[in-house]
Amino acid sequence: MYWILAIVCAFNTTIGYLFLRETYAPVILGWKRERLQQDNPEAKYKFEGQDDRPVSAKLRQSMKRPIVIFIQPIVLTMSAYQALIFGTTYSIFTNLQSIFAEIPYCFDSEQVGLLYLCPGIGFLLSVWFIVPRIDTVYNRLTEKNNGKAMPEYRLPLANIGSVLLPMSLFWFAWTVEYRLHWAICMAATFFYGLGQVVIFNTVQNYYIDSFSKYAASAIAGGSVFRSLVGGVVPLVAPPMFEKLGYGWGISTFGFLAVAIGPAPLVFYYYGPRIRERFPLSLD
Amino acid sequence: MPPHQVSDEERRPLLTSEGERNSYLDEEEPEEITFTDGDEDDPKQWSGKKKLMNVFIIAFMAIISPLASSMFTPGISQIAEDLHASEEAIIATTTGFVIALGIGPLVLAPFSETFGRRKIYIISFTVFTLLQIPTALAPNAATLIAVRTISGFFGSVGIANGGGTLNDMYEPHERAGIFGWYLLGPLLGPTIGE
Repeated sequence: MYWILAIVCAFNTTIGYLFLRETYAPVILGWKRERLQQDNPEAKYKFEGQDDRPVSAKLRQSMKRPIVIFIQPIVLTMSAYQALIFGTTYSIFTNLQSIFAEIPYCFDSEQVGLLYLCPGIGFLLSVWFIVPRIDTVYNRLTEKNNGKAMPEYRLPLANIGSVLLPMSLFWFAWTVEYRLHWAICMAATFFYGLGQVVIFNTVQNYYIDSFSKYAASAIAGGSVFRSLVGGVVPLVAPPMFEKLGYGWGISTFGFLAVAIGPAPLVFYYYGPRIRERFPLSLD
Repeated sequence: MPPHQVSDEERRPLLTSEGERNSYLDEEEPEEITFTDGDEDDPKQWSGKKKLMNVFIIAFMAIISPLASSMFTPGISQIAEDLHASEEAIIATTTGFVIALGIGPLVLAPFSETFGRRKIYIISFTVFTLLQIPTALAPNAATLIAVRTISGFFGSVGIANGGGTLNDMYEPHERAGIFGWYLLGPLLGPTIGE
């Protein structure tokens, strides 16, 4: 299995080596400057985002960037939201086997594998139909604001997720608790998938718009927390499910989702003011 | 800025006349370099195809690493048996991998904002690829945990910088749609592998 992985990776590395182009504007402009400089050694050039500090100083500054961005209240909250979602997703996914392989379902592992299609289809339909609307909403709100764009204009659609997530979690929790028909249980994960993708996308776009040139750092700050929680929660989930049962166990995630659900709405209205109160210097 | 190779034939002789040179010296303000309209160098002005090529490569990097973490969940008991280790120890390799996948961007993202994206992508993914070899050959659980954790770090590059790269190439008003497809990688990776 690892060999297949190694071959596929090697293939992609080669393609990347041949076709992947530099996209980071300050680097490209830097190259351009050097070309011009060679042609005109006496001329002086500069470009937007130019940074003449030595590499070590630049690195020290840039390594701080994800942390500095991460402790922004909005980023912190929305990362907590994503962390909760990822923790929930992994906990449910890793337990599908133990739920559905047992009485009364008695699925074999292939059938359990097919169950993942339900959230998967939710993911796909969401990306297909809902996510492009994030741009639509963003553009319309920008237009209404006399062409002035705000990162907060990414958030309205996140409210769909804020409703779908807790709803689908409670639905899944209690249909599984009473061992209802598998299709009734899994239908919940379809809506969960829709919701997860919408939140994930709105938040990522919000980060990028807020920190444009340092978008990668902003996303990185958020992803650390998400991965840590996503990695640890599934380890503590099974004992919790054992103690509380799936009903209350999964509902616990549902309650947390209810608690953090209003965040996109709050930031939509108060985001600009919060950003003003916590100014950033990233260069 | 990364050092740019200067080949000898590129080094032009100083043909500029004395007067021209002086006029440059007189200018105190350095000349501003920007992307102009129709500039081939500007990633935002690339053709759709060229942008998509970049997106595909990066999306692939982003989907393959989480996939690498989960594709091996079904085989846990088999691997544990092969390496004479407990199942918990093997699960720990996945936990280590996932955590490294999260910490990697913390380093790789700021690096890409200093050295440029391409270098970071290529170097990291090359290391990730090479690390699959010791993973496949790992003689015991401890080695497996160590190698997988390190490979998670480098494998995170597609997740770390994808958003940044897309932001480099697409204007905000058109970004979310394409970004969504790319984000399926980090999202679906863990699901498909099961």
